[in-house]
Amino acid sequence: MYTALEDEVFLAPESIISGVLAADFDEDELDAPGDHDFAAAEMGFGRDGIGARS
Amino acid sequence: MSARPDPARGAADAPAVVCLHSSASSPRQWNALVQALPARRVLAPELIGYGGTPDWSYEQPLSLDDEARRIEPLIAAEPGGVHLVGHSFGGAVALRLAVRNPQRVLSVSVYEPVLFVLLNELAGEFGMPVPEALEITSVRIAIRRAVYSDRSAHAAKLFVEYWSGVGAWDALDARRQAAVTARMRKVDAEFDAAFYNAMPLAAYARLAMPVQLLWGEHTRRPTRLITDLLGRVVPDVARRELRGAAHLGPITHAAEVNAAIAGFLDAQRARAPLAQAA
Repeated sequence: MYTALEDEVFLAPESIISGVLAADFDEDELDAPGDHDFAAAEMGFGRDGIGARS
Repeated sequence: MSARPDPARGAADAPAVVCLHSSASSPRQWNALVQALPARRVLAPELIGYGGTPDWSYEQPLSLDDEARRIEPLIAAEPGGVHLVGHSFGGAVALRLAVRNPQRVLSVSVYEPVLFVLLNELAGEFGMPVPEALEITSVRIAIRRAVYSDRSAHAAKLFVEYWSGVGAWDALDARRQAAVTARMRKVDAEFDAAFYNAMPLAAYARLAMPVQLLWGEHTRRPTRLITDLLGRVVPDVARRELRGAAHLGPITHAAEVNAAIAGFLDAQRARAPLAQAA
C-alpha cells in the first residue's frame, strides 16, 4: 500500500511532483544570527520582515 | 531599522494584513501578495529564528503559543485589528493567534495549516492511528533522527521531497540546499509544535471570525485531512481547493493563491474595524 521515499519514510500511494522549492533565499540568510535589530525583532521583524514601521 | 522598506503601503487606518510564512521559508515568500494587495498594509514578520532574529533556545519543546507570543505585540499595536494570513506552519500559528486573540483578529486565511495534532484526535475515534497520522509521523521521526545525528542535509532532503516530490532536492542549487539545511533544527522544533501542542479540534469551533481554508489539489493526505477537519468545525468558513497546486501552492501557484486571499479580504470589507484596542 505504501511506497518508500527513503528507507524510513513511508508515503501514501500518490507521489506528487510539484516542482522545486521556489522560496526566494538570499545568500545572506546563511549568516550567523546576530545581525539584527533587537527593537525591530521585538515587534516581530528581523532582517527580512515586510512592513515594519520606522 | 533593519527591515526592508514596505513596497506597497495602503491606507494607514485600514486594518493591516499580517502574513506568516511557512517552515524553512521567509517573509519574502509574501512579496507577490504585497503587490496583489496595493490598498492594504501588509506586515510579514519572521517566525522565531528566521531572518537573523533570535533563535529558539531548544531547551524545551517549541509550541505554537511560543510563536504566537512573538507575533502578539505586532497585533496589539494595530487598534483596528488585523487580518491573518498563513501558510503551512505559519497557518498553524495564525489559527493559534486567532484562538488566543478573538477580539483582534478580523479574519483568517490559511493555506494548509499543519495542525498535525488534530490527526491524533482521530486515533481515539478509530482506536488506532489513521494512515495520515502514520505518514506524517514517519516523516517527523526521520527528520528528527537525521537532525540529531548531524545529517541535517539529509533531513532537509526528506523535508523538501516529502512536500515537493522526489527529485525536488536535487533540483535546488547548492545555495538553496544550504539555506534549507541551515534551518532544519528549527523545522524539527516546528514539528514539535505542530504535533504535541494540544488544542482540540473543538477549540476551532469557537472561532467567530471568517476563516478561509485553502489547499492544493495535489497536497499530501495529512494536510488535506487537516483542512477537511477544520472545515467541518469552523463556523464561518470558506473552503477552496487550488487546482494543480500542492503544499507549496503559495510559492508555486502564487498568483492563484494570492487572488483567493485578496478576494476573501475584499469580501470582509463590510466588516467594521475594531472600535478600540483592548
